[in-house]
Amino acid sequence: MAVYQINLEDAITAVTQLAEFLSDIIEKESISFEVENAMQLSAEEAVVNIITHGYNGKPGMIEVTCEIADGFVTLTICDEAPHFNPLTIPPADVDAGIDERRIGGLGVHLIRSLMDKVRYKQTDSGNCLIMQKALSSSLS
Amino acid sequence: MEDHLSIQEREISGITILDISGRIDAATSSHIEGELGKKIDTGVTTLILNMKDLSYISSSGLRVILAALKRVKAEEGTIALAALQPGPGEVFKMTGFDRLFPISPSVEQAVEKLKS
Repeated sequence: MAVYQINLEDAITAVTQLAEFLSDIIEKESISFEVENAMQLSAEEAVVNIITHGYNGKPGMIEVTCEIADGFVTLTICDEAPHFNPLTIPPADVDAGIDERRIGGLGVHLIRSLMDKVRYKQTDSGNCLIMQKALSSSLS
Repeated sequence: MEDHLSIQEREISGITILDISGRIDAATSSHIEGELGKKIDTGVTTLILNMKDLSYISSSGLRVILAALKRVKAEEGTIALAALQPGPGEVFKMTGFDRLFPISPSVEQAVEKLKS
């Protein structure tokens, strides 16, 4: 089992730091391209939502933990923002035409589509989103 | 890591092509937003985005190209996508964006389609 962790505090550099953090893990653990894309996207969408909505662009702690164990990758993203469960956001209408198309909710839609399991946990200090995906498609 | 975004411009048969390489994420989406905005401001309403070397796009990138598509559509123009790679291709499919944009396997085919 391997556990990796990073704390993102600067909203400006958070997304680039996160991508580099995950890229190092992906290389070290020889993770497949499909899982890599899912990890990068789900983590970015979750972190951007926290920065934009949870902290309203103000500085705030975001702790990202990546655990590789028993054929699964688990990304846990915790913040100290006001309590909010992103999984309650109504599903994005991905069938809407261009005129009716709203962009909101697409991040959470991507997370749900790309990961096998997504769970929200309210903590004393904030929120955690726990996202899991099988490392090989035969396990999912 | 290929984390930066680079955008080169060229023209084929009078159609503007933007060759995009790298990643479009929340950190780089303002770059392509600026480039698309500049082109549309100068009256270019038909564009091809060559995504052959685009390795990654998140919803921040989708937001920018959808806003650009809405602007050019209002002027009877369009934005066509070419040579989508598997990662970005999956994102376009999952979000239904593959039905909003004309998509071609190559730039040459996108040019042919726009000319016809």
